[in-house]
Amino acid sequence: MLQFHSGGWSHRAFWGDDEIPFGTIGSDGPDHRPHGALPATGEWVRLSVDPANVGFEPGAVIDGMAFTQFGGRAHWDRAGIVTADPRLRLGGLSAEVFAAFEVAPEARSAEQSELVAAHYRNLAPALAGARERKATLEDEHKKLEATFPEMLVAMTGEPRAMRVLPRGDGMNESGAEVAPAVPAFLGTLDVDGRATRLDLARWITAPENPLTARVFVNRLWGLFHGRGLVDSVGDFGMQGEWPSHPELLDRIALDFTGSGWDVRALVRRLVTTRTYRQSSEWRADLAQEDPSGRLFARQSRQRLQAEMVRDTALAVSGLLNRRVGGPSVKPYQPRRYWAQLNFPKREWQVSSGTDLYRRGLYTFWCRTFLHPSLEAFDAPTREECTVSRNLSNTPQQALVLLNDPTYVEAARAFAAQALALGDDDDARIDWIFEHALVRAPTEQERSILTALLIDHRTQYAADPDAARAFLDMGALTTPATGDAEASELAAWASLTRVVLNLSETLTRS
Amino acid sequence: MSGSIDFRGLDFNGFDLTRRTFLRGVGGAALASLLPAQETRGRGRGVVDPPHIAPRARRVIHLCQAGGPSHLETLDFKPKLAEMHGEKMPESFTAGQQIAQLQGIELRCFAPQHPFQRYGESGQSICSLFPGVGSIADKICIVRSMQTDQINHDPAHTQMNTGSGLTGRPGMGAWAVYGLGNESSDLPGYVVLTSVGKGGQSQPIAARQWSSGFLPSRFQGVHFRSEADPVLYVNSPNGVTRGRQRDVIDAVSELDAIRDAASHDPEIATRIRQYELAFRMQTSVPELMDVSDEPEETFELYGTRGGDGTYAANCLLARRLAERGVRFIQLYHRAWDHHSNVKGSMEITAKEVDQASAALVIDLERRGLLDDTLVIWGGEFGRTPMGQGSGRDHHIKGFSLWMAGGGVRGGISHGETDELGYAATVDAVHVNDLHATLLHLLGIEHERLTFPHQGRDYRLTDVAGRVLNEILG
Repeated sequence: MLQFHSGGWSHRAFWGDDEIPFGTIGSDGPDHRPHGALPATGEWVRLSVDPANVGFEPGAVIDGMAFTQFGGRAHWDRAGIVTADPRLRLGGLSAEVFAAFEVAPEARSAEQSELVAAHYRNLAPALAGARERKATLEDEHKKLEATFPEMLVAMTGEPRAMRVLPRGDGMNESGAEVAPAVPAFLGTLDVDGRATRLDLARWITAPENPLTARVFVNRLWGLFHGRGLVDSVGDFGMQGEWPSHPELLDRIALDFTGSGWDVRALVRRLVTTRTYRQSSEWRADLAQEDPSGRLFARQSRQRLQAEMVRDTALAVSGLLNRRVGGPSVKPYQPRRYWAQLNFPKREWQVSSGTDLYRRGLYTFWCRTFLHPSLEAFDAPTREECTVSRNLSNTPQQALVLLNDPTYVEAARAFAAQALALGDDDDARIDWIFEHALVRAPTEQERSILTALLIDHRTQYAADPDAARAFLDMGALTTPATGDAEASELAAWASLTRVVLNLSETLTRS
Repeated sequence: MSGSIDFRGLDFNGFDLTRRTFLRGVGGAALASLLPAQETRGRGRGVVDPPHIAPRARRVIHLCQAGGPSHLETLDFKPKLAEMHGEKMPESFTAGQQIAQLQGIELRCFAPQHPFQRYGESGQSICSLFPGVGSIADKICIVRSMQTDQINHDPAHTQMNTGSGLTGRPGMGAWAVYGLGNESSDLPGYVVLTSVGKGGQSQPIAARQWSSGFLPSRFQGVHFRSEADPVLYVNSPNGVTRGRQRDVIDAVSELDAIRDAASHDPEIATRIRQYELAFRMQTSVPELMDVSDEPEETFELYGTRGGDGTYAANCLLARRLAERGVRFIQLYHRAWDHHSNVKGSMEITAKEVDQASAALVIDLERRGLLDDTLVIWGGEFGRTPMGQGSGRDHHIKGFSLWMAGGGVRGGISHGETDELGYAATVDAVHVNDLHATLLHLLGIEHERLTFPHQGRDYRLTDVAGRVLNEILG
């Protein structure tokens, strides 16, 4: 349907079935005028409307035009007019250009001369080459600009008057007006006039303020040791914990600011300490002295964080895509997981190729429905700032590691690697164990895995269809193999599933 | 603070730290016998043990009518509004009040679109579109004076769940499981079911609504879907039979146990149990979802044969979950956002929920479960007495819900709105009061169930909440 605006929108022409309820469906009048069948699909068709047919008197001024579709898809090209008016027939000249043409060349003002010249440059066949080159350059310029990352830029406006909100009521404007400041008990900002965010940033990082560096250093320490020197990593205030090693914390913090806040140097320093490099093995002598690990006399054990659980399985299986940066990706996610969303309804479009095997931190983050595989391992939705994540231990985690196609596929790729090593079962099992856990299996461990292998080898040999169904999980194609090879790979994939599910695999020890 | 555990100084995993400290002292040999019954999702006691007060309810079923049902076409009859239909809404009602979509539009009275009837011996006044609810009129307590602070769906749901419109706090389901633990050994303590209706807009529901906020994540709700995998990842991979899955889990657990003996890491013992629980869920969840063992007469009662993801099917599942000891069961029916055509939409939506809501109460009662199951039926807010074309806008100053069972007196109503159904004027009930009452019925004093977060102790009712003693049986 085409709708024309002149005071109102009651000038309409439509093609095809009478479905659009502007004007009255079933009527035939200037506000709802049938114009025959839908134009042919797949080609450009010119649609013409006689103004008289949609209720326009000569002289009427049309100031708007709307393109309305009912279903389907259409591309609307340029709109124009067909007319007998000689002025308008001159290629849609504006009134100004037309006026300039009507003046004798020598009598034209400079402005009018330029208008005529510009018109000439747009039409003259002699300039076709130049025009084309200009268009190409403009096009390239546009394409180049399109590759620039977009930045959100907020323009500084007049600062809004901020008030104390009585009882937190945002609609109550009776409170006193307040200016930017730091909490009064922490002193004042030494600035001329209204304090800005830059002033706040300088105050936060001022050399006289040791807190910022201590908090940051403590968080990194917490990442590497499972707990901070101050246990309450999110709270250095009155409700927080005392540091276990205050001098150490202060020293590292001072060195950190002294290095110009060099985070890389700080990380290097932390991970090269003897404290960090200690074994996490249980020590009888510490059971009494330091049962909770408060004194860092041994390294801690921590379940890996959500993204790293994924990364570990992919890395061990050889699937991990180590590319750094780039847009988010969408690994496997259960169908219709987004069914509770709306406006618009959406369906997760699974990525393809190596995008399926990117690190967990590149997973598309839908805050209202976080990827369930990450969520099961306590990834936060990022709706609120999360200083320290939960490290829960739930049956959902077992279900993810056992049944999420990501881990089934990783187990298969892991098994395929082991099979490529040679024919010796023990050697393969040793390699799998060492590859995932960085240690050799004990005799007992090897025999548990061997028993499973032999059992599933028999089972899958008797049921090659099941083996194939199992191997078909995930996008990775298995090299075409006969029943025997498929059954063998499936049996080994059972074994690697076990290894990927081990508590030790999930634990930084 | 008798009766509750002081978590100050422990991290979120308070149980585990205590346990670890304890086990270090005695060595790992006696591990299995010494571990308390505390499970991550499965059976386990809560922090309120024994209860602060004698509990009346052991579990809660929240039938959340999502989108904001109009109280004026469900539970709150306003003849005066009919009289004033089309007239300007008196400014004395609306001046300075929040408005959602009707901003800048002339506010006019819009008559109740459906008649009301008296039901039951108690003569409760209920819209005639709800004969099912009418049939249980003597079992329900209608609250006609609900108030909330949030005028848009998502924050209003957040408030109805957490007591606050801000995100990041635990919902009532998470608090209930945190406080009381879970009675089911192979199902989560907090289960969420969702359905979509055909009337009104299907407002989205975010998974945050059943999040555990700052409580440990094991207390969060688990969404059971009407899909091939009702719980995410509950189905074994293709080609992996139940026996083969068992083999894999057994091997994992055997290897974990070897590691456990050497490393004294209590997380390993916990993980072994979680794998066992996961394996049981792989059976218990499909068993729960498969209603084919229900008698024909139950299908007739609920008006569904189940398995189709409808609200009625979810009501039937709610009863099955309640039977299995699930502590907090929450249904969302996304169908009540009747911005236009409230008359027609209400007919559609009432049909979707009326029979099954009543059937659930009846079914619970005849199985002896209603006495200790609190059923709550209501939305995140109500709708304006002013029209929005042929519909109604969001409204927070007065709306209705009903409760049944779990120690709530039946056949009564509580609170009133003014003659136009705009604001609660008699016995106003804030969401915080509803929560205080809910916890009270569960045997918890709402001022004593706390969790430290960001430097202070938080409660479900935060700094408010009053128990509605008037409606207790």
